[in-house]
Amino acid sequence: MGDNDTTIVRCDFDIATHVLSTKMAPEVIEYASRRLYRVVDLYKEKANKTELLGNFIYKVPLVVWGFSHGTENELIGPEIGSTVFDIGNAVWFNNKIVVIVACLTGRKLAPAMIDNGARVVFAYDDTLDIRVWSDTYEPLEGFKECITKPKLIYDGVKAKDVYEATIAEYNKWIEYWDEKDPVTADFLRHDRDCFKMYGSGESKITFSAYLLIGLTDIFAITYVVMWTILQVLRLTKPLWRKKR
Amino acid sequence: MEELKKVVADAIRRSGYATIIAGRLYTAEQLAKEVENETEIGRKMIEMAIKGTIERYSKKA
Repeated sequence: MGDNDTTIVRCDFDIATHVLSTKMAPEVIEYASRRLYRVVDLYKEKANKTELLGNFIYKVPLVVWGFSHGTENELIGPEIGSTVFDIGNAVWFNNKIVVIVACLTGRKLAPAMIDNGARVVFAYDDTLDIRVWSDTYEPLEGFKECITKPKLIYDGVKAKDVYEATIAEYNKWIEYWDEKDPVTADFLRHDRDCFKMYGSGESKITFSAYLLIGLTDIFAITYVVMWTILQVLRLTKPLWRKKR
Repeated sequence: MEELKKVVADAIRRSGYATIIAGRLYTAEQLAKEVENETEIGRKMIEMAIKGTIERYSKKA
C-alpha cells in the first residue's frame, strides 16, 4: 500500500480511446512494472468510478493515470453519460500524482484536483491531437514517446523536471518532423503547448520507500530460494549415506 | 484567405496521415475538406500551420 502502488485507468470504446489504451498506456504499465510498482489496470468495463473508489480504498496508489476522452470538467467513462474522474470526485485525488491523457481536462478538472489536495496534475488544456497510420492506427513516431514521458515520475524525478523532460521530448520530435513532414510537427507543437503541469513542481515519489519495497522483495525471493535449497538438501541427505 | 486555405489543405493531403482530433478520427482528405470549408477544425488547422511556420522560420533565423 502507498508509494509502491499505481493505478492506470484506460477506457476503450472507440478508435481514439483504443489508440490511447492499447498503443500508449501499455508503455506506462510496462515501465512501472519493471520498476517493481504494483500496477492496478482498470481497463475497458473496469474503468469506472466504483472500481476506482474500491482501488483507492484498498490500495491507496500514489500515482494515477487516466486515458480517455475528456472535457473541461471530466474524464469520460465507457458507459454513455458516465465519467471516471470529474469535479465531483476531485477530492479522491487528495495527496496523489495524477496524469490525465485526454482533451481539455487541464482547464477545470486539473485545477479542481489541486484545490482538493492533489500533489501535482499533468493534463492538456486543449484538444490532444494524435497522428496515426491510416491502416493500423499505430501512432506516428514521437507521439507515444511524448505522451508517456511523465512515466519518469516512477524514477523518483521531481514533477517540474518531469514536465521539462516532456517538453524537451516534444521539441526533439518537432525538430525531427519539421524535416520530414511539417504538418505532423505542427500537431506535436500544438500538443506541447497545451500540455500543462498544475500543483507543486517539487512533488515526487519518495525514492527510499520505492527502494525499500524493492529490497524487501529481493530479500523475500532470496529467503524462498535458500529455504528451497535447504529442504532439497535435507530430503536428499539419506541418499548420500546409502551411496557411501 | 482562399490562398492560405489552399496551401494548408494541400499540405495536409500531401502529408497523407490520419489524425485524431478532439476524439474523432479524420483521414487526410477529410481534414483537408475541413480546411477548405473553413469549419472550426479547419480554422484551427490554419492557425496551427501559421504558428508552426513562424516557429520554424524563427529557428532558422
